[in-house]
Amino acid sequence: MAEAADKPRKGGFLDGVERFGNALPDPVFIFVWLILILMAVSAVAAGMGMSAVNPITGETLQASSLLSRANVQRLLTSMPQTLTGFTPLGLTLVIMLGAGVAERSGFFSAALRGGLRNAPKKAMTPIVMLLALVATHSSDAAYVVLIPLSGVIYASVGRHPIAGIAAAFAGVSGGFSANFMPGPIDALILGVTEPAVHVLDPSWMANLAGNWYFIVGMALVFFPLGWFVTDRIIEPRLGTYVPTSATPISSQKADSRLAPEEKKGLWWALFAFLGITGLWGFLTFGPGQYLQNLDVDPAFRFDPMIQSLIAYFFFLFLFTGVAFGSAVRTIRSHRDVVHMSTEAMKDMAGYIVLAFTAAHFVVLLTWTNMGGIMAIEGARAIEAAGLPAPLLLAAVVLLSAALNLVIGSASAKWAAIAPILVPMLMLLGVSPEMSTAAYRVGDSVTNIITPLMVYFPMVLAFCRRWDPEFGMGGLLANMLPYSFFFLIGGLALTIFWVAMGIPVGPGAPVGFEVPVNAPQM
Amino acid sequence: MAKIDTPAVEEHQKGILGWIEKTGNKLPDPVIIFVWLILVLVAVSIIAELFGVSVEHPVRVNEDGTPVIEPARMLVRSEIIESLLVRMPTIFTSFHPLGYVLVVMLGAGVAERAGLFGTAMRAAVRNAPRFLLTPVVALVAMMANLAADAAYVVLIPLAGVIYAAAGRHPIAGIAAAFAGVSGGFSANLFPGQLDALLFGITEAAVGTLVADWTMNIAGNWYFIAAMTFIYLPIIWFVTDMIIEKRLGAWRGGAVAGSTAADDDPDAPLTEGQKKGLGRAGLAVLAVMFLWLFLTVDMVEFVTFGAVSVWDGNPPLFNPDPTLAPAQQLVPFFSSLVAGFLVLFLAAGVAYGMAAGTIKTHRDTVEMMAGGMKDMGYYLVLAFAAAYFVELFNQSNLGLISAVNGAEAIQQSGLPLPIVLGLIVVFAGVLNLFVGSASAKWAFMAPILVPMLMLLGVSPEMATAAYRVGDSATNIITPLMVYFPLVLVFARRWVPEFGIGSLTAAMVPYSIWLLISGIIMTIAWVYLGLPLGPGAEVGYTLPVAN
Repeated sequence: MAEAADKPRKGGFLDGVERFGNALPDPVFIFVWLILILMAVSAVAAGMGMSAVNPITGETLQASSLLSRANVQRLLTSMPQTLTGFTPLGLTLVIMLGAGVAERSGFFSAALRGGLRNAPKKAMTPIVMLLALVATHSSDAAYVVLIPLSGVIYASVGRHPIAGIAAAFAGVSGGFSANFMPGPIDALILGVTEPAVHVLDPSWMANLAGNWYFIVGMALVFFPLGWFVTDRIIEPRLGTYVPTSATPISSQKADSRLAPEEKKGLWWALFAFLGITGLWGFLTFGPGQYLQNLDVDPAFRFDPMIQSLIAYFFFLFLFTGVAFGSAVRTIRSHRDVVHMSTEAMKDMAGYIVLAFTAAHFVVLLTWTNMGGIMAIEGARAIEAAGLPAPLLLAAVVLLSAALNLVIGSASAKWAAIAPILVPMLMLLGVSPEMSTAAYRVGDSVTNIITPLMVYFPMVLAFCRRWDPEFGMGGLLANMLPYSFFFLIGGLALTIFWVAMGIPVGPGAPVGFEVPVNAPQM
Repeated sequence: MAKIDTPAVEEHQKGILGWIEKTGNKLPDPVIIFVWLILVLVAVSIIAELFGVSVEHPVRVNEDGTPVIEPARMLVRSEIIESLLVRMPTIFTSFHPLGYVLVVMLGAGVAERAGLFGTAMRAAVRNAPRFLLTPVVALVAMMANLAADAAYVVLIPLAGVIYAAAGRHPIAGIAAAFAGVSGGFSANLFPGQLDALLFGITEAAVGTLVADWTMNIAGNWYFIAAMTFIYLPIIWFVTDMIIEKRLGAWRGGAVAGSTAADDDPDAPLTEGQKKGLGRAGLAVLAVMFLWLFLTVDMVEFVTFGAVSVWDGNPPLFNPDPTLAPAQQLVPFFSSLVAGFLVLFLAAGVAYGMAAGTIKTHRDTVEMMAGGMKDMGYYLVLAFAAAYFVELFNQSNLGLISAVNGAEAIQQSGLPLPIVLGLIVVFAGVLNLFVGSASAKWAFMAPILVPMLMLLGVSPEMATAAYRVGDSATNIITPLMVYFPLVLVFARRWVPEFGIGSLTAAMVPYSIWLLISGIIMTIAWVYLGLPLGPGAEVGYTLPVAN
């Protein structure tokens, strides 16, 4: 990349992004404004008699004013149900109840450090990259543990620590959705997809593994790209690292070793992992076949098992955390476990507030019928334009990447655009899973270049421990190449995937057939 | 309360309260109690099914008119295990109280953190005439329950300062405020988050018997208001006639020994705070006016029918003329959870903007998140309780025990008012060991509520009786989380004041509150007064179809 020539223009562009981002209100209030705008628009649309014919049921969708008697009553009498009925809320809280224990008992941190420690020096970047891609499951732990630790490891093998931080940040956040296993993020994002699908197909249920193959594909594309950018672009730019007196190597180095009891804890956690996984295997394949639905088509036989993955991850995180914590004495009684879960729930406080306004926006948009009407009209327009599905999904990638610069929260952004995009793409024969996957590509790649991302200031602070002169522009300039290559790679992957029609996950094809005369609506 | 650094209180009590403390501390955390209860429930359900236990459903009938037989169902069966694992997030979020409490707390969190509750309390207590000091402190203390933590952290130390300034014993003020806040935990002039919490659990319990019953946050309004009026003279009497006499005259002066660390609770209100209170009052009026506008077609009323909005058919009113007036107002009652959210939010923001505690909308969002942070432990508890309630319903054991329990009570010939009096006592005793109001009610409600419904007692009355018992003994259980905090406040004035002294000061309140609460409950049932708008004492099971 022509870094030098582009710098002034880029700086100006990025400054503009930053100013605009600061001027935007808090995401909670963005939804409040959206709701107010929606109310006004719905009143106008209903007054003008906007309507469209639902191609599934043949039923006419009539725009409904949110200020009408029935909708005001519904809004005010069902507020608690609107909040708790917001699908991602329950999914996220349940996972965090377990993950809070695994994180606070020190299990995530030890497992991450254990995975890194045995790496040969030359293989540092691929290992950091790989762990960072996988570590997204542990959410906060990935940011708070892996990113600073990567700096320490790079420095200790004589490489530039900021290159390590950049690689880990790119893997964790730029490859936010890329992974080898579905996890909490899948639950969150697909949970938002579900109510959007219900506009057209009320019987559709989110499947945690619905993007599994695709996120593995993303990980396989992002992994070599991240490796290449770190070793060939970032590290040559940074040059040789000259330690100053303020460097934190000594204090961090001891931390990065696994203590003997931590090793013991990891063994115990491994047994817990095998125990829970074995239990799920037994429940699925054992004599009772509890988690199989034997009455239906073989392709859907494992749906109960897939839907129970939330419960699986809850128990997995809970019990590996308890096993590790009991070994290293971070958990001394059941009260510690309850305390750790409580702390995890406190961390979700901001999310619950956001969920409250986001849930109302989603529900109100459904009541207006405008999402359905716009999807039908939009689909007609795009059908007329004759854009092939692969290019359409590429447009979704670019849209979400652009929105991601100003609205950080993955679920909030998706909650705003899914109710329009998902039904539209369904009508064009693209499955909800594939639309979600395309959205996630865009949502991931630009995470690392927006200062509005909540962890951006924290990453900057970690860089400054190594180089006190390092500023926000420096971090942005270091992360832009990752973002650029990830975006190109992600776009190519999306187009290739749709063109080849590879399944997005087990039981989730690229294509979607609108059910004929679905009886529910 | 997290902001106040509570020194460890190492002393332990002797005698019966000491035994309660030891036993209570040995009990596991309520979350784990639920886990154990679930295991017990699974075992009992297996035994019950093997013995073929069953009852006739009191409401549902088959097509041929015979009652539906509900057998006990063991919980170790394929479809139940599958449903428990597949529906985990749904079981959690469909636990009724969860949504109600979170929504009310989103508003109350802002009102509390903006400083509205604290300032309002100080304004009310500071201006009280000297001879009315105790009743004003007691009334404000009972009202202050709307504010949760602020009541303990602001009002109780403030009462000590005000009493000392008036030349009275500061411990008497602390005791009176503690009795009001905690002993009168459920007493209030308005429903609040506690009502949302308990009625959510009641609603889940009613579901065993009747599917379409929805809670009304105002369902105990008259009852808790009456509690306030009965507890007020009692706290006044106990404070001035018993506690203060025992404490003797105060000779320590008007300044406490060690208040340097935190803010002076008696600091005069600033101009901004006074302005804020005025603004908050206006906001409250505006929200009440809005709700009135949504319930009654005021435009039509004022213009004598010439002009009307909503086509004379306001959103929160059901115009069906065949319904009783209370039923026509059901949409209004259902909207009250949203109403209190908007009320607290508007008043809190109006106050905060004038007082300078809210500068941008980001402060409001942060305060809402703070309110949610306070619910962290509750979310963990709700997860365990939701599973317990779900399993209890799946097993049919709640229904079976309720039907059999109701028959046993009928055969024993105990009059209903006495039965409810006994429930008060039972809740009061259980409260000594398990502090959490919602956890205790989640254990008790699934059996008690349907049982009393079968005996013709409404779910609202059952909830009210439980709340009387749950309140009165709060102030003497060493397990109450705020007990050490109150002790710290008392020690500022009398350094040698110990746990035993505080308990001794609070026991008279507890006894008097419990006795008057029982009498009130019995009289209420006997007289059949309504408990709140649209909430009667009696209950008639819906006719089966």
